[in-house]
Amino acid sequence: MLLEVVQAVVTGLLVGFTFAVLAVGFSLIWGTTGVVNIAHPAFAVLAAFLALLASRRWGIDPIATLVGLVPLFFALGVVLHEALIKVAAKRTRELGLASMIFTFGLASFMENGMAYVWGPGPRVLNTAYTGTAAQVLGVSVPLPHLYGALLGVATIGVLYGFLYHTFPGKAVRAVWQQRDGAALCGIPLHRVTALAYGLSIASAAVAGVAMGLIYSFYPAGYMVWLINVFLIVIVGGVGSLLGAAAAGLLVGLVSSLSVLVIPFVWTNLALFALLILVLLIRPSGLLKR
Amino acid sequence: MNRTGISTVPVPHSGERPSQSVPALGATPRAAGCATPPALAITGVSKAFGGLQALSNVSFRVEPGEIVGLIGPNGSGKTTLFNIISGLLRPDAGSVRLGATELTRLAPHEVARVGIGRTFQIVRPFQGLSVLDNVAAAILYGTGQQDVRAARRQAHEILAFVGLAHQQALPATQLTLSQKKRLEVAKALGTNPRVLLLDEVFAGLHPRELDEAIALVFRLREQFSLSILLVEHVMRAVMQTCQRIVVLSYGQKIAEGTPREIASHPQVLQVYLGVDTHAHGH
Amino acid sequence: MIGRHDGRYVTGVLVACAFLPLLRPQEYVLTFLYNLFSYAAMASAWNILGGLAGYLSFGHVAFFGCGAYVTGLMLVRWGWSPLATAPLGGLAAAMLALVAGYPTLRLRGPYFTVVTVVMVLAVKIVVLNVPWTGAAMGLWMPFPPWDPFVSRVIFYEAVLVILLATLLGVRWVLHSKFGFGLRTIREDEDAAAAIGVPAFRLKLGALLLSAFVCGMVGAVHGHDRSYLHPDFMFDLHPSIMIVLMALFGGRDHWLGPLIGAVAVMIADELLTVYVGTEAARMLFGLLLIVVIVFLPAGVISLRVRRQPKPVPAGRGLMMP
Repeated sequence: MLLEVVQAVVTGLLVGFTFAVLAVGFSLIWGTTGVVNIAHPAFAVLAAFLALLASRRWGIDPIATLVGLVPLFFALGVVLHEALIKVAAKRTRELGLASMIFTFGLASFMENGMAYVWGPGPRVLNTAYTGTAAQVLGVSVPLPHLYGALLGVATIGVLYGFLYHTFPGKAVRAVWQQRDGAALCGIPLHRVTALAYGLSIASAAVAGVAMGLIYSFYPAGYMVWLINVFLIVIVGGVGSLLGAAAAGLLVGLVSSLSVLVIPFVWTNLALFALLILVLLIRPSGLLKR
Repeated sequence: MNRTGISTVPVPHSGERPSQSVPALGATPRAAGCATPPALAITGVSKAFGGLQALSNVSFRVEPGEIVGLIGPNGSGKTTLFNIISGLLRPDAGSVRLGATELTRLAPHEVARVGIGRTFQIVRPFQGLSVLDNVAAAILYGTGQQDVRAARRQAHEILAFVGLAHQQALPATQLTLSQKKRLEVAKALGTNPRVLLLDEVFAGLHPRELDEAIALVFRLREQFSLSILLVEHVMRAVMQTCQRIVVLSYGQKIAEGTPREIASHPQVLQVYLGVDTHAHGH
Repeated sequence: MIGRHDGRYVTGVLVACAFLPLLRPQEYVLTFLYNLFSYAAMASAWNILGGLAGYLSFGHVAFFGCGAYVTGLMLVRWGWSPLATAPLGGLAAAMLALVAGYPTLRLRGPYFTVVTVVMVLAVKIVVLNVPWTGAAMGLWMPFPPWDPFVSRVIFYEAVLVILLATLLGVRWVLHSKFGFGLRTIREDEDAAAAIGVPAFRLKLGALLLSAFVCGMVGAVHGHDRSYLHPDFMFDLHPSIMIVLMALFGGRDHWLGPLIGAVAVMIADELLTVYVGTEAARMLFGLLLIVVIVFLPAGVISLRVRRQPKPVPAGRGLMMP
C-alpha cells in the first residue's frame, strides 16, 4: 500500500510540473492585463498537434520540435496581444467581459480548426521512450512523465530567471504587481505586456508538448485542461509565478492520489468539486504570495 | 414604534408601501406621523487589516439635521469608516446605529434601504444607463417603489433639484465630472436616505463649481430633512458647511468640535502641519 | 427604440408560423424552424442572466440536458408524456440551477463563467457514470405515439409555444423593476448594492428563470430524439451558440436574441451544408470575437441609435 502511495506521489509530482507550466503561462496574462485567456490551453493542444506533425514529418523527437515551436508561439502571443489589447480594449468599456468572450471564441475557433485538420480523435506523442519507465527504488518512473516534468522544470526555471534577474523581466513583474505604479515609473506598459503575452503563449507550447508526452490530447480536450489550470491558478492565486507553480504541483498530487481512493472516472469530478470549494472559501487563492 | 419614531425592522420595504406612500421630495420622515429623524451613532468602531489598525475605537454621533465633517490626513481611516457604515465592511468591534437599528449586521443593500445613502469618492454611475434611469434605479430599489414609470417621474424631480434635468436622457458616461458628482448625490437621494454619506464630493471642482456644490449641500439638508456626514479634504468646503468636525489620524479620533475649535486645535495642527504649538509659544 | 410595431409584427409572424403545418411544407423547413424556435427561446431566456445582468454562463446546456433526462426518465418509468411533464423538466432544471447557482453566483466575471463550464462537464460525468440514467449506453425512450409528420408538427408547435411564452416573459422582465435591477448589476454590482439592489436574489431569479425555459425545451427535444446520451445532451456547442445568438442579436432588447438566433441559424445551415461542421463552428468562434469587439450591444444596436458608441476604456483598464 505504501508503495502505491509513493508511486502516486511521484507520478503526481511529475504530472504536476507539466500542469505548473501551463498555469504559470496562464497567470502571466491574467496577472499583467486582467485577461482570462480561455484559449491558453487551446494553444497548448495546438502545440502538441504541431509537435506530432513535425516529429512524424522529420522523424525527430517531439521535444526537439520546441526549437521551432517556442519562437513561433511567442510570436503568436504577441499577435494575440495586439489584437486583444490594441483593438478590443479600445472599443469596449467592459474589457473583462469582452476578453472572455474574445478568448472563448478564439478557443472555439482553434478547437474546430484542429478538428478540421486532424480530426476530433485523441492522439499521443509517440516517442522512442513511450511506455518505458525507469525503476528507482521500486518505484516506476515513466520516462515520458519524467521528460515532460523536466521540460516543465526547465521552463519554469528559465521564466523565473528571466522574471527575477533581468530588467525586462522585472518590468513584467512590476506591471504584474502594480500596473499604475509601473506606468508611473516610466515602464512602457504596452511593450511589457506584449512581452508577457509572448512568454505566456510560448510557455503554453512547452506545456502542450510536455502534456502531450504524458496524456492523450484532442481538440476539445483543451476545456478539461482549462479547468485544471483554472483550479491551479485559483489555488495558487494569480499573484506570482512560484505560487502558480506550487499550486500546479499540489493539483497534480491531488489528482494522482485521488485515483487511489476513488474510481478513475470520478477523478475529474473530484477536481471540479475542489475547484468550486476553493472558489467559495477563498476566491483570491489558498496560498499567500 | 420606538422613541425615535422609526420602525426598528431593518428589512427591505418591498411590497409594504404602495407607490403613493413614497415620500414626496423633502417632505416627511420615513415613519409617517412621527417627527424625529434618527441619529447616526458610531460607537467604539475598530477595524484592522492584517497588521494594520485602520480604525481604533472611533465614536461620535451625527444628530438629525446636522452636517458633520470627517477629516484627517490620508490613511487616517475615513473611507474605511464609510465602508463600515454603508455595510461594505464589517468592523472588528463596535457598533453603528441608525436610530435603534444596528447596521453592522446588515448587507450593503439592506443598509441602503434602511436609510443610509452614500456617494463614492470615485464616481460610479451606471454607465450604460441614462442619467434618469440611474436615479430611477435608486428609487426602485432604495425605496418601496414598484412602478417603473412612477420611479422615473420621481427621478426627474430629483434631477431637477440637483440641476441635471436637462441631461436626463444622456447616457451617464457623457456627463462632466461635476455633473457626475451631482448624479452620485442624486442616486443617493433616490434611496430616500435619512443620513447621507458624502465621500469627497468637493474634490476636483473649480471655485465656482465649489460654491454651487456647497449651496447644494445646504439645500439638500433643508429639502430632504437629512443629516450629512462628509469626508473631505477641501478645507474651505468643510469649514463652510459643517457644524461639527471630527478629526481622525491613524485610525483614532483626535478631535471633535466646531470648525473654529478645530482650526486652532493643537493636535489637529500637529497632525496636518507638523507644528509643535507649545514650542512656538501658541 | 425599435418601434413597438416591430414587436407586434414579429409576434404576428410567429403566431402565423403556428399555422404553417397546414400548408404541408417540407419536413426540412419544419425541422429548421423547430431548431430555430428552440434556440431562440433558450437564447432569450439566457439573456436575462447573461445579457442583462452580465453573468456569462456557458453552461445552460446543462439545464437543457437536465430537462430532457428528467422527463425522459419519467416517460420510461411511468409512461408520462414529456409534453405534459415538460414543466416538471423545467422545474428540475431550475432546481439544478438553484443548487449550482447558490454557491457560484457569488463569484464574479471569469470565475463565474468557468464554473458554469465546470458544471456542464461535472453533470456530464455524473450522468455518464450513474446506472439509472443509462450511463454510457444512453437512455432509450419509447417513440412518440404519432406518425412522423404529426410528431414533427407537434414538437414544432410545442417549441413555438415555449418561444412565444418566453418572449412575452422576457419583454416583461426588460421593462420591469426586475430588469432595471439586473442591468445595474451588469453596470456596477457594488454601486448597485449601495442603492439597495439585492443583487444575489436577482441573479438567482434570473438563473432559475432561464434554467426553467431551457429545461422545457430540453424535454421536448428529448422526446423528439427518443434516445439520450450525455455526449450530445451536454455538449458545450449549443451553449456557445446560445451566447452568440444573444450577444449578436442584442442583449438589451427582447427581440435581440431572436434576431441573433435567426442570423446564426441561417449562417449555420449554409456553412454546414457547403463547408462542413467544423468550419461552421470555426466561423462561430470568429463571429464571437467580431461581435464582442465591434458590436458589443449586438446587431440590434445598429437600428436602435439610442446611445452613441461606448467610451473607450478609462481608468484602471488597459492603456498602453
